[in-house]
Amino acid sequence: MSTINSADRTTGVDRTSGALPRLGGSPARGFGVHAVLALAALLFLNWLVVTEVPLAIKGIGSSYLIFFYHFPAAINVFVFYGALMGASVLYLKTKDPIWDRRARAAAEVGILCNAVLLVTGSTWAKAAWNAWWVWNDPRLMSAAVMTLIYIGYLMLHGAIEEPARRRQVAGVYGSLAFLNIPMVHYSIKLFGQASHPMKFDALSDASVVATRWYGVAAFFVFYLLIYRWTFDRKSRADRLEDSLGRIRRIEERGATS
Amino acid sequence: MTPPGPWKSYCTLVRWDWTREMRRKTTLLSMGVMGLITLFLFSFAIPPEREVLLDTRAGILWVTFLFAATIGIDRAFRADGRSGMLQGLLLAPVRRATLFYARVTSTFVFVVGLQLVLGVLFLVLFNQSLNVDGAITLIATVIATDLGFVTVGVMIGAMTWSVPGGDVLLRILLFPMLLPVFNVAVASADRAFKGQALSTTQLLMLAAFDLTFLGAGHLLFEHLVKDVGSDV
Amino acid sequence: MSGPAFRVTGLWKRFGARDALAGVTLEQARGTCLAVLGPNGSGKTTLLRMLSTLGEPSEGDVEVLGHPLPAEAHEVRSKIGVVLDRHLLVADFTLRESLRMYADLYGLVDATARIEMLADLTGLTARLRDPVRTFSRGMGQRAALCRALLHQPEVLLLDEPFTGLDAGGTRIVERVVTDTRARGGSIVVVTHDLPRAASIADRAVVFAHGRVVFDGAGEEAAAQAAEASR
Repeated sequence: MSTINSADRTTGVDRTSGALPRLGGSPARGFGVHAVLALAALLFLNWLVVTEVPLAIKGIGSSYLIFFYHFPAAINVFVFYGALMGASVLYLKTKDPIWDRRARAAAEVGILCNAVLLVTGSTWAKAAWNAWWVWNDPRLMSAAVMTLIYIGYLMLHGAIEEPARRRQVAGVYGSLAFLNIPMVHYSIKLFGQASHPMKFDALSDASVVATRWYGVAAFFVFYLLIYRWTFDRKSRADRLEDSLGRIRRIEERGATS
Repeated sequence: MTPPGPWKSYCTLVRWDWTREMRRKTTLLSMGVMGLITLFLFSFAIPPEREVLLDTRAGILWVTFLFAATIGIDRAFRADGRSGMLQGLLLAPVRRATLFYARVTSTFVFVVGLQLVLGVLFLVLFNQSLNVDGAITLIATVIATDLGFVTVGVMIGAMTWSVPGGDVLLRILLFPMLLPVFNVAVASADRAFKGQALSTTQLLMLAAFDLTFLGAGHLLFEHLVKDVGSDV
Repeated sequence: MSGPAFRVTGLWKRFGARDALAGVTLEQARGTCLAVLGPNGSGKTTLLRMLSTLGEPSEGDVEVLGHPLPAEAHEVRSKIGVVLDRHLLVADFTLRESLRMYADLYGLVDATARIEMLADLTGLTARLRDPVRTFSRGMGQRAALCRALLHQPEVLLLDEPFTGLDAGGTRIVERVVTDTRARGGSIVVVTHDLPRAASIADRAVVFAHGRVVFDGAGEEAAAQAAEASR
């Protein structure tokens, strides 16, 4: 990532000479190692779930196994939406476009986690309550509303033409969105009837708790990999756009003089 | 020459905003008519029978409010931005936070006014009544909810006015953001129709939302009006 | 009061990949009129927007009347008068109401007299009671001039002030420039109208591709600008 950092303030271009930046280039350092690590961590999680966790627990059945994929998504949603807000605030403070790219990448990964959360949750709900969706459950509804709010972030980002204003406005929205999360949650909690299981006695078993938190860590490594990949892609896209604009300008200048 | 202080600028802005809206009645009219149409649509969508309405009246009232009031929120910035009026205000020696509070105040006044009219229409058309406790609950709910609604609305209005198709985007961004207050407002209006007094928890929830976003607007609004016009 | 009317140092403004300003360093003495010339898209208006506190530089420093921007934008705003490509008045108000609103925002004490005086100067006395929405391009331009002059600004920033104006209107702009200079104020005129710029300005700079390519007396600049836009 260091290559991106150093060139970023001027979107990767030496302005005075008008030279074009190098395109393509190698992906961020250690990306391959990271990918292998993430894959291994997830495989190990599967192995843990299969071997360490009792298959059927009294009264719940085996469907609860999806919990080990569901819970990490729930934690990582907050990690990445939180990172999105942090990056947004830092963008507003520093005006450095790198924070905007970080915010956008965090938004995409956050929405991915959110989608995983909803799909695993919904699948589990079908198995446990025989319904894909329950309208008055606070957690389900908060997760759904959060998705809508952050899809809004990406839509807003895509809608504004002028790059500096786009980053600015998205920065403000990214900050507002995160402030809203606790309120979305509490407001729904106030009235909803929680059908969402939060505590299973059976799951307080030491090996199950360990597996659960190991799952969070393993998935964090995995989502971080996706984040780095997204960020890298955005940085390249931005630099490419910049270079194209620059080439167009040089051509124009050539045509006029 | 010394420019006037924040309080004086604030009063000036609110006063002139008010004069202008009274002059240009189209926005107020569209808000009112939109509200009326929504009420009629609900009378077709949901059988307006006594037992059904017991469960749905609070929701009907708030969805109607939301659709009608959003028109006003959207117009507030779009008209000024497009006409260049916003740039004129930005050039004047007025602090950005003052502009924000003034816009929130004048929009708030209009939205509350609209809701009182729509509320009465609703009571008449759907044959509902309120006792004193209920009326107080409903009015307090409307005031606390609208403050949050307008605060977030002004922020999102300032984000989307220059975007082509920004009126749709505004609604897409605004409605999910408003969910916390909408949720509480419906529950509180339900209590009002049942003739119950205001619930402290609900009022606190609304106040927390209002204060959070007023604070955020105070800090962040200036970022939304920087470099305005260069992308239009 | 001493120091320049404005000073910009190493000023860059980027819109995405496009550089509207590419390292401009420029300074204007108080009590003078500076014409900024150049073809469309050369960065003239961007510079004006920066000086008017509406735009923020991507890089470099801007200082107006000794106040660094954007840090002291608030102080600067009450000392500058700006005419942009639109009149920035409220379409639904009459001209008098529109000006009255701005007079209140600038904290004018003798607003009524000042508005009458400016309306007289710009030949709009008869139109004071008409809604701004009914104004033609030229009338709008005159009204914009009224708004910019309300608070007797120390620096007057004019973006293409001659557009849409007839001979009478042009004379008004020329008179405003003379008057402003006479009371020690400074003027920046952004235009591509070379003969008029040459006649009112003490000094002219020519922009091309976001850079200053010529800096000198009015007449020479006119020739240079003609060259640049060819």
